[in-house]
Amino acid sequence: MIVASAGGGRGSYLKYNKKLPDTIGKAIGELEQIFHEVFKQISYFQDQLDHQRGKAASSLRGNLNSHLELMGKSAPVLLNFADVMKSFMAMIELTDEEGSGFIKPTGRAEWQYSLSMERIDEEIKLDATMKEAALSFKSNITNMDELFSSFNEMINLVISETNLPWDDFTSVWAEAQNKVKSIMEETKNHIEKLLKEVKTFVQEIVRLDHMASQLKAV
Amino acid sequence: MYRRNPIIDQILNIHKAQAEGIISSTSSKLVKKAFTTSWSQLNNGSIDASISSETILFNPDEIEVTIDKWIKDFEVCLEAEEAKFKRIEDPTFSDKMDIINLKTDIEQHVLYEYRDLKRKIGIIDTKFANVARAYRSPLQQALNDITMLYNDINNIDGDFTGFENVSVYVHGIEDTGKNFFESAVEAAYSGDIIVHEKRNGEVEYFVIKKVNGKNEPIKIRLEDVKIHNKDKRLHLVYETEYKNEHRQKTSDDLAEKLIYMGLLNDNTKIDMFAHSYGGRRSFQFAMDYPDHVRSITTIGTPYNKNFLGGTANTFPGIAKDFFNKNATEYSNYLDFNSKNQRNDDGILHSNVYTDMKSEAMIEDIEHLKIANPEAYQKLEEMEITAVAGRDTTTHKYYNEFKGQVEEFVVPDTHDGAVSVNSQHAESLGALINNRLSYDVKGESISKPAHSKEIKNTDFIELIRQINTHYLE
Repeated sequence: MIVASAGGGRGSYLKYNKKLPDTIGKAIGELEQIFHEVFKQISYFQDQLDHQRGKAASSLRGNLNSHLELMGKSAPVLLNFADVMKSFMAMIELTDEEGSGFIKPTGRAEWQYSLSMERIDEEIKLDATMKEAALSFKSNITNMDELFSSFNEMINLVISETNLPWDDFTSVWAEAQNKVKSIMEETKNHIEKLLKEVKTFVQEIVRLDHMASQLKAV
Repeated sequence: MYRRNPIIDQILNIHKAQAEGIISSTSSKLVKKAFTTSWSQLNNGSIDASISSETILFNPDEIEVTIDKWIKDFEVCLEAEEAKFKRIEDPTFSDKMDIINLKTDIEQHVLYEYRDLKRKIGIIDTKFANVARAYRSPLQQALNDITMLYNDINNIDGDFTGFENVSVYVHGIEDTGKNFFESAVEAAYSGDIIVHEKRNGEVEYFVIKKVNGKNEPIKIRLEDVKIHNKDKRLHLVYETEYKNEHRQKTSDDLAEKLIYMGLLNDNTKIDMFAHSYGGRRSFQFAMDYPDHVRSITTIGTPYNKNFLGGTANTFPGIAKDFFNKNATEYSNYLDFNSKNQRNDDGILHSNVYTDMKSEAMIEDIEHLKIANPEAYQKLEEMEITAVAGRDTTTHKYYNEFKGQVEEFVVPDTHDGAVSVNSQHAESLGALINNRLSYDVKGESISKPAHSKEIKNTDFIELIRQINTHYLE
């Protein structure tokens, strides 16, 4: 044997499910879509808030900014991890098919750039009303749940469907899964807090609108 | 004409059935190909096995054990047939030919093919292992990023969180951190902390005290560092895990170390000091973590393709025997760039020597410029100083023709290992803010100026100035 298979996998055998690259690829597509949707909603709400004055609006704007910053940090990190996993899995298959060269992951520098706050601001088009923005913002919570469950399922699948005996990859997947769980939970808590503020803020706007229309009528 | 002894085909048929079982359970195209080609060489019909299962289960050890059993089957068969032959009182010519043919067929044909099949299985294992090696680094980087974010969100600090000014010292090829430790001590200020991370995993902590006007490193415990005044500078003398590891491996490991120490955060700024190939390692770290690096200062760094490094890569035997350079040293890292790889017995890997045979680093910087212009801009904003050591050694020699002792001054266009042009990173243009040159004297061919650069007084003074500059 040229290379002793003595890594951290179970025993010294390779286990690999040929469907993994496709499955991970689909999960990445979903993750990208969900992230984009969340970014869109936050940016959108931010934009609508820019037209509002007062303490509540200002505080909400600040919180939204910090939330967007958190999402801007987590999106490239999670997508890069998933993308490396996908390239790795696809390369095992390509090797079995006698392919040459390597499937290069997109790269962390590229993910960081394409998902930076500046790029998101440039790319997102805004076109709805304040109320719609508030409503769509509520769906963020559902989206975050979907996002986490997509990522979790993807790692679970890699853990159950692979055994890579050359290094302790199982620990890498497990560590990533645990930490991502914590990141997602923290992000979700963040949004839940924000939602409470949004609710109060929208009620206030509706009350002011109502008062204004009554005054006009008088 | 030779007719194969039917006993060989009988055994081969049993083995073929087992081989088909292995192929089906493995479900690997490469494994199927290995068995199919071997069987066609064995003239025992063709292999008929499906690889339709969606899971590859490749256990090279188990397959080897099976092939070893097959080899044993034929060895036992041959022994039995030879024993049978010896029992014949008066063997005919035909009996003699039969046993010779059987022996030849088994030993020179079947067993040769089985051993070759084992070799092919080993190659398949190596191919898959090469894949794992290539994705090890990007996975480590991705996991480092997740850990950074996790620590950030959960407010997890390391033992060193709070130090805002950190100097990291990275040594070069075939070296340790010993010289840099001594220079860091000299360039530090009273009260500064020095952490010496050694190759064997041992970590030592020191505080700098002025004793009779001279800096002395006083050994302290980690617990003392935690309560130390963090307004002072922290110096990390970093020794790479493998002395000739590729710059990307250093960057990945260093990031992991700094995250663990609590030093990769928004408040800490890192000034990197590097010698020789350590400059490339530092540059890689700066490309990977541009938000955290404030300055890079290098001396003796081969920014361009290096003749000596490239030659050692091409002729590793000579490099080892005559210059004690380990061009084949393996550190379990593989670069995706095929120009930056070695192939030693099928094992693909990359190290400092593969990195110096081409302009791989310049290409990586160019790639970053396109892939992430914002990160590249941060590199542009970084204070980067490329110092060139110039060998000014004067050698005395006896001129036999003139009958007198004469002097030969080494041309100051290099430091005995790297040209001034390459050390100045001329190819990186405006990315380099300062290009300085210091005269450094070597001792001999085995101890050229290049090996003396870290301890050069001008360079130590430069480190001291940079350490002070950012404290002000």
